[in-house]
Amino acid sequence: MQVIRKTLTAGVAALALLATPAFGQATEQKTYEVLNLFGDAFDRVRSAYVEEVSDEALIGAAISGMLAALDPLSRFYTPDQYAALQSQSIRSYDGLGLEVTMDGGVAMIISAIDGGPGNRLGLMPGDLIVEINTTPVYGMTLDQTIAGLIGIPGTMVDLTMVRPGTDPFLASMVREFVAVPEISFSTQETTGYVRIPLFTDTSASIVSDTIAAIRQNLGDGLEGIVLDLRNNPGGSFDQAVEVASLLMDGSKIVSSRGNSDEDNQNWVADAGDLLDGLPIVLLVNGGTAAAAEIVAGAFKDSRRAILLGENTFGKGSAQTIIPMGDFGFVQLTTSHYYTPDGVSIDDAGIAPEIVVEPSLVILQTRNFPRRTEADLRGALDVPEEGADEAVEEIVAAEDPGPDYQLARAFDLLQALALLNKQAAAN
Amino acid sequence: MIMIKAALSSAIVAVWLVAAPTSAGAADPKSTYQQLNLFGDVFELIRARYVGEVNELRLVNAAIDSMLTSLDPHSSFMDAETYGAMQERTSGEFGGLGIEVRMDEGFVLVVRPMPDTPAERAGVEAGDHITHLDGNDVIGMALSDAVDLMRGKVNSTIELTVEREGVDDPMTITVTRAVIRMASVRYRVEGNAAYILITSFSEQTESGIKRAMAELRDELGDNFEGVILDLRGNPGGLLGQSVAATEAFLDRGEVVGTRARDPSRVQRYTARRGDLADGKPIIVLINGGSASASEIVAGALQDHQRALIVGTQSFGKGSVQTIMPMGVYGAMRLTTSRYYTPSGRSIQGTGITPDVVVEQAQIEPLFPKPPEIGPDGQEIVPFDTGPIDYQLSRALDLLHAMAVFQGGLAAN
Repeated sequence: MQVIRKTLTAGVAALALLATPAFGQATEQKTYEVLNLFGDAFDRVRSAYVEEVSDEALIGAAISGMLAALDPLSRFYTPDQYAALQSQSIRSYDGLGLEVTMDGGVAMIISAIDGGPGNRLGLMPGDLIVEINTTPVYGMTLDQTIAGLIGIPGTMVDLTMVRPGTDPFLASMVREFVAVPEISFSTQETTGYVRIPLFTDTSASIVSDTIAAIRQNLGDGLEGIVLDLRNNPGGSFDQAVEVASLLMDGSKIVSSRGNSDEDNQNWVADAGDLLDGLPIVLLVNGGTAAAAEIVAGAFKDSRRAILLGENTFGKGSAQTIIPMGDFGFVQLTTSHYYTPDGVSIDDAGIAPEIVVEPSLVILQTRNFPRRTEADLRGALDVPEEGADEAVEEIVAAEDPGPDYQLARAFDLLQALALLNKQAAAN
Repeated sequence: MIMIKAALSSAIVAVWLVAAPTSAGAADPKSTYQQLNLFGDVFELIRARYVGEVNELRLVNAAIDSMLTSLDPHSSFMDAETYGAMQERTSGEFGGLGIEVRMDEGFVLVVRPMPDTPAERAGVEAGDHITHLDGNDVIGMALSDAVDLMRGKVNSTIELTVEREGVDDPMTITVTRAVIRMASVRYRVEGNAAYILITSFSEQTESGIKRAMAELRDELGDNFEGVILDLRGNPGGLLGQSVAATEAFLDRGEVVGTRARDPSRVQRYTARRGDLADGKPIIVLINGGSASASEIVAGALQDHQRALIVGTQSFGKGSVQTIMPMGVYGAMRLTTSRYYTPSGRSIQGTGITPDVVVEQAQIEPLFPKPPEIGPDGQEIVPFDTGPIDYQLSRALDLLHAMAVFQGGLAAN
């Protein structure tokens, strides 16, 4: 599961202590009535349905429906399902490398994982999947949708896609084993580049090693780094917080707020910054989600980095898994994450300070023939050759590099480094 | 809080006490109690811990709907709004214009006005593009929203802005809404047969069949050879009307039996009256779109050997749903029984197998006649009669043959 989740174990018995004392008599009456409505419906199904149905199946369906009405990540696990969840090695992005959520009844791509079939095909954050092999997604739960996407490696899948502003299109892909995307880095002249495609269990230690390697490569010449969190759907919350902590000197990272004390928590960075305050440009886009947005929000609000790119996805909720005796477990959204300045991440997402859309740059250079002495009236004779050549207008189209956002990030880093040097000189 | 918790528990206990006496045998009452308690606990957990706003009624509506839809594809919950809209539609309080429409390049295209409706009387024509409804631009509207705007109280008016091919300026047509009854039965003479098409089984079906038979037999007189009952694409409807449609062609005998879960609750529906076709041959046309009430008619007439079933395998929906109002909260639509044909067949999942299988097909003559040349030396282009309904033409041939054979038997 690529969801931010903290697993807490709170018995239902504790509820009596946690509930707010604000319910008035009217609320109580209404609650009584709607519970009676359910009891009435349950009773009629038990007595009048054409076949005998087990209470367990009826109540299970009712609870699942009730939780699904809240949000895609609130759900019920039977003990068997929970055990399978604990032991399974299947990842939600297997098969096509797509991280999805449900939106308006259909599936929405959060991001297409680096190196996966969906990424190679150019599927983008916000693209809607309305059919999987002609089966409508409408009415499916998130789990059912993910199961439909994963499938068996080597099999074909046709996704009917809707992208705002375009006609529906078909995305045909062959499912494959999608490797866990790895952190990568490079250095050029005075800057480092670190790409974190997903927060996994080892991200913090790898980032730490990576920064050390960059510092070793460039020595005192290092002027700053570009940290690339584009299309990072999140992953491990703890590791994301840890990565933020590595590059922040003791300031607030994130807080969670919910209805219960245990849902209200704060995370603060340890003292010390692996880059000693060197400038960071953080690349984000619509596929930057969940744990990755926590890093983005922390860096932005603490002025630790300049954010460049596009608005992030806006997914920052925490689920708690609560055991329900022998019956199973409820996974419930119990808190939202807030940036240090108190902005809810589970909302509009994080806005970059510098908006740069992915673009193709077409250089336009008009090459007129150079004017020379020979062109002047009354100039001394020159040899005749080439004199009658037509004047050509040349429009050169050139792609300066496939990644415009990254190029802009490096430019920005140069500017920040200059400011740093000026400050040091004064 | 303790007090509220106690109140909730007592609610659940009360529900269980109601439930227990009517529960059918095998379920363990303790388990039922525990299951209901589990539901109450999760409900309470959501109220206490869920991070967002919680609408309790919405939660319970979702729970009931999920419980019902988990049973089968035909059981569901209608909340108060949905149920209210359904009642309004069937009560006759709701008026419409009587046009068949679809979206065309962002406008509402009139496919055709239905006969004898406000739209036809007001002069709306097939092919008209409706651009505005009461001055509201329809561009960007979903068809369902446009249809909602066209509906309204009976005797209220609506102003349609219409663009018509060949007319330069947009026209304004004012239409007074009226109750629109979808004709359930359409009929015409085909050869010497009474052709009756039933599109769905509504309150008007029985009277429609009677009128159709009276008019068509009057028109055919002694030439009347039999009946083609076309149930293709008919998704079903009211059980009582399917029984009425069947007994219109049976002198006596069982039409259908329904069985609830409790085996003692068997209900039989039996034909009582005379046969409107007086024993003349009947062919029932069915296809994969013929479901439920259609299959009751086809199954009964097949079992009584009253009709020859022609076409393709029917859909196979052999269950009956009951609408159960839930006070102010809406209504449940619950599958309460299965039905069986007179010989005891359940058509659930299998459907009715035709006696003569005829797939719908397009027929082209192998040796087309040479084109006729007119006196001016030009080819005469024949008037396009549209595609031939192959299944119907086969049914007409069979009916004619049966009538000839029957006539021969009668002569001997």
